[in-house]
Amino acid sequence: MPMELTQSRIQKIWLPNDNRPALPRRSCGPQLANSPTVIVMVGLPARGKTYISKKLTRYLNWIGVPTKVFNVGEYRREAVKHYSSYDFFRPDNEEAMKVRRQCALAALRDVKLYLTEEAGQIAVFDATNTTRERRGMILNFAKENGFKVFFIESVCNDPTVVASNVREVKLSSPDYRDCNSTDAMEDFMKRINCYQASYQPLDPDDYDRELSLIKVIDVGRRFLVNRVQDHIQSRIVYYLMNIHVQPRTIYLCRHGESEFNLKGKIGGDSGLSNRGKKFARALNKFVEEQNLKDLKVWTSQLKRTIQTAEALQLPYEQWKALNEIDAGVCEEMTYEEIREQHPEEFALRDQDKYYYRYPSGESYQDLVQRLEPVIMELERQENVLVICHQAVMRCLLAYFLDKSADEMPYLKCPLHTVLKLTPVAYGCRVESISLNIEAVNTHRDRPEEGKKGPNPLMRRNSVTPLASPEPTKKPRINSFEEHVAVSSALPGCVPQEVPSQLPGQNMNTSQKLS
Amino acid sequence: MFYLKQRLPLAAPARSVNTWASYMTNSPTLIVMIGLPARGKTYVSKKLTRYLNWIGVPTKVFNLGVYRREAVKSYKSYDFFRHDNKEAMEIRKRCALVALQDVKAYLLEECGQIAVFDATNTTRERRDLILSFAKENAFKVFFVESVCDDPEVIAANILEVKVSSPDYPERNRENVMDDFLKRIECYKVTYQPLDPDAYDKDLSFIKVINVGQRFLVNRVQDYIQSKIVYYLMNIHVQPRTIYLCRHGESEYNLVGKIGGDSGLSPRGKQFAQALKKFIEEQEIVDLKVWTSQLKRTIQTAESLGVMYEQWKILNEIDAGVCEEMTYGEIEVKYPDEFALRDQEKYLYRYPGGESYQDLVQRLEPVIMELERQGNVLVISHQAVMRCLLAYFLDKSADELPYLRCPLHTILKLTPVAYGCKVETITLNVEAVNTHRDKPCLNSNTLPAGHSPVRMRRNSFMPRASADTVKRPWHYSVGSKPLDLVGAFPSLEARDGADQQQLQVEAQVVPSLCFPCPPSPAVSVVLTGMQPVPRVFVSV
Repeated sequence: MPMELTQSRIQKIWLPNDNRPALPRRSCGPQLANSPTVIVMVGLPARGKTYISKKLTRYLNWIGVPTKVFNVGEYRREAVKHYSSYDFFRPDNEEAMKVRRQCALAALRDVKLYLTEEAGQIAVFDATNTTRERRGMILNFAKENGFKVFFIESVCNDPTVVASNVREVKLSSPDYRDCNSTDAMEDFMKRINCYQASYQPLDPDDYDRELSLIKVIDVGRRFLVNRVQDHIQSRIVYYLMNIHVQPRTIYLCRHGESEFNLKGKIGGDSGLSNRGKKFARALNKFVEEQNLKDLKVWTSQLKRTIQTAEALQLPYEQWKALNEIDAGVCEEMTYEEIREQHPEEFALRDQDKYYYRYPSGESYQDLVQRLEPVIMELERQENVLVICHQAVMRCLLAYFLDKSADEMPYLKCPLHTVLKLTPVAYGCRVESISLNIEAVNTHRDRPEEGKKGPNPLMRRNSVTPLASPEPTKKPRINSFEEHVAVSSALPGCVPQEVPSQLPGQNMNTSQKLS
Repeated sequence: MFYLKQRLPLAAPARSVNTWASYMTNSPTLIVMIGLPARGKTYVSKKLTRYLNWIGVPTKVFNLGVYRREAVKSYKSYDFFRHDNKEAMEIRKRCALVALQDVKAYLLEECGQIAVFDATNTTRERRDLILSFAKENAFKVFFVESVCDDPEVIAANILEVKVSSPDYPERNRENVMDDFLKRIECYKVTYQPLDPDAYDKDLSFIKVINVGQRFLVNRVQDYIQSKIVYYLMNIHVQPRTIYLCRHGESEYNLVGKIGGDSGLSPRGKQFAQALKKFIEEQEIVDLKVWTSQLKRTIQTAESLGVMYEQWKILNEIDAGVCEEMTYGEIEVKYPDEFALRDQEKYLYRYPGGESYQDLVQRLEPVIMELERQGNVLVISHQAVMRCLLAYFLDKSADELPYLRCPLHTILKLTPVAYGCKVETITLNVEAVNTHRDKPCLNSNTLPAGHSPVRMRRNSFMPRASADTVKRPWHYSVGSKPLDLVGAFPSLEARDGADQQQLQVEAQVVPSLCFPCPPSPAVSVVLTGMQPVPRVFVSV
């Protein structure tokens, strides 16, 4: 019986010595997604579908599930260069309907490619998908490819919410580049009406009762959840139930400079240096000036963050989950000492800093997993100041800024600097506020030879944040003006035939539309 | 602070310094079950209560049926539940009021955080009464409605739990089924389901439809409600079995060292072989095997020849500076730490390491995933296994660190009715004993100046679910209400020496605590929120 194990050097994971055809072994707990999943958005325009798609994708990538958004609107804009008016979306505009269908098919082809060849786990199909016919087509497509399907329908009948959504994200859309906002608003409202006529909401009582779905009603006031199939769907549901769209601000900073920082030691549980204490007072002043309603303050359970929070004269909560990365045998050592005493470990960490686990300590990957409940709770909260540590702050920041596992361990989070994060439209605005108290620099740049692409291994089924990939900029669809396959311009995307099983794959739509 | 290794400001201000779980507990919550009889309300109540207590939120079920049976000693037939039976309706309402009174006492005086009000609550009138009660006392309310139209599910539920109810002593199956179905009909007449579109649109609730096939969730208010929703969406009622065991005996076990990452001893390897044989004999469909990321569990799993998954969060408790030491060495090198741990083993955090409390928090995702899964074998470690076991057997923080989880022994857990059946299977491969009993202590072994700090509120501390009040506040005229404190695994009550010898061998957790107290008092005074006239019930 094979009982001999070897420990992998970077991740410190025990593996059997023999290289038997590997039984799948995962390093990070539950199976996140066993067969690829297509998440299909459903809803009228301006119901926050794109917002949900992007946000969910960012979250899934951060927890390590490779996910990508396929926004059919972008395919459409690519196919039809000049949007003239809502006329295009009228249900009786047959030519346009054909184009739109082609766009959907092209996007589905890319979904297939992503899930079968590019190691994607989840594809988010971001389109209105308001008709049963369209959803039936997607279901067929998924069935043929063995993909699971999960529908997310956003239902909102509050006109003020819809209007504010249109104002916030639609008026700046490329469709309305040369248009004043009143006209754009009016056109967009008509566009919504075009869909309204043929909209068939998901019907969990009858027609759609076998489908796995969540209906998000009135921006999260109510949810209907049907037939959740697996771990990842249950995680998605939980996430969607916790996010909100209230305006708020998140402040991230590290503790004030510590005694160990001064000596260049990592880890440990030392107190603040004199400059660190100065920072704590400056932070107090800063927080007062921000004049925030109901600010929550979170710290780790280490002395240096708690000392920092104590200066604020505010209630605060201690999270053990926010403690600094556990450096195991290297705790309380300087980098120099580590280099001397554990030269091999030191080199390994530079090789792959995200995966590297300190002997009997943690890796950034471990940290992301530990911080997931913090992110979930941050999503639920409003104004929060998180006083944490360098590695922890990097992980949190990577979530908000959608950074990959490769970049994360090198994000710059200097001491005595507050990052102010404000959600805007589909993303997050960052302001970096230095409180002008000197401190040592604790940042170690990526060594030159380490500047390489992310480890291609372990992408599947790992807790490895990936930056959400850009939506395919140039979809593989013929431009209707030119009738030329532009797809070949896409690196790594071989032009493919439309899957024959898909109905209506007639690419021969060379009519001019505009 | 000594036990928790948690930093507290020296001049303790009134300011709140909270740990993680404080989110759960800002204002007490009343969870109100809704649904026709035999819709699994009691199942959900008990299971949810067990979970909440395990994650450290003091929670207790108040089952109205228990109060009713207390008030009306012998049940005759469904006639009692007919909506036109005025006298009975009156009694039932008074029972509800008494139960609410107990809810109030629990949440305001007994440090309870969540009360689960387990009754049908099928009418708006009743729910409005509860809502105004909650408003008066500033409790949050969260409704859990169980809707099920599948006659097979209902019949199965009746057979499983209702037939054994004290209402039906003679256990004549067909009569029971018949009577119970009629009882359901009585409620159907007046049933007003939650209406999320109009009447109830401002309430916070979850509708669980057809045993978890569908959920409707409205206006989740806070962290704990969101946690409850997530939990309810993950549990299922399919029959399945969970096997818990530790790795085979390790080299460190042999030398009495804790922690570390050593490999299996020869006897440990023998156990791994025996485990393989055992698993094969069990013929389990789709068995998932989970290990930690420590060598000894992986070596054990490797010999099974099946797929397995490694979870870092299943790793043994981190003993910090005490890793790789024997208890003897710890006692010599860190005598204070050693004494502190004995004093308060659940809360005690090793310097630079973890406490059992930390472990429970770390293991929460494992429990959530175990609830989602079918058959699973978890190969873990002593402290980890104790935490998992405490969840399934509803053990308190007090008992948890002393649960017996010997090496080379498998615990087979099968869900039954409202509990969990445990079988202990010893594979007859010898191993060292790693169990340390709770030493006799008296509080002056504590280093001077450190009295144990009780962090009951806002702490992450499993409690055994308090039993439904065995004797509700029905007391005869002139006598005093019963003290209800006994239901708590109270840390306060634990000063001095009380050794707990826990036996986990082949124990069946009582499927339901239907108390049948031999109380002769037929004359009952029911106390309600408002002055209630004295009622004499004669049956």
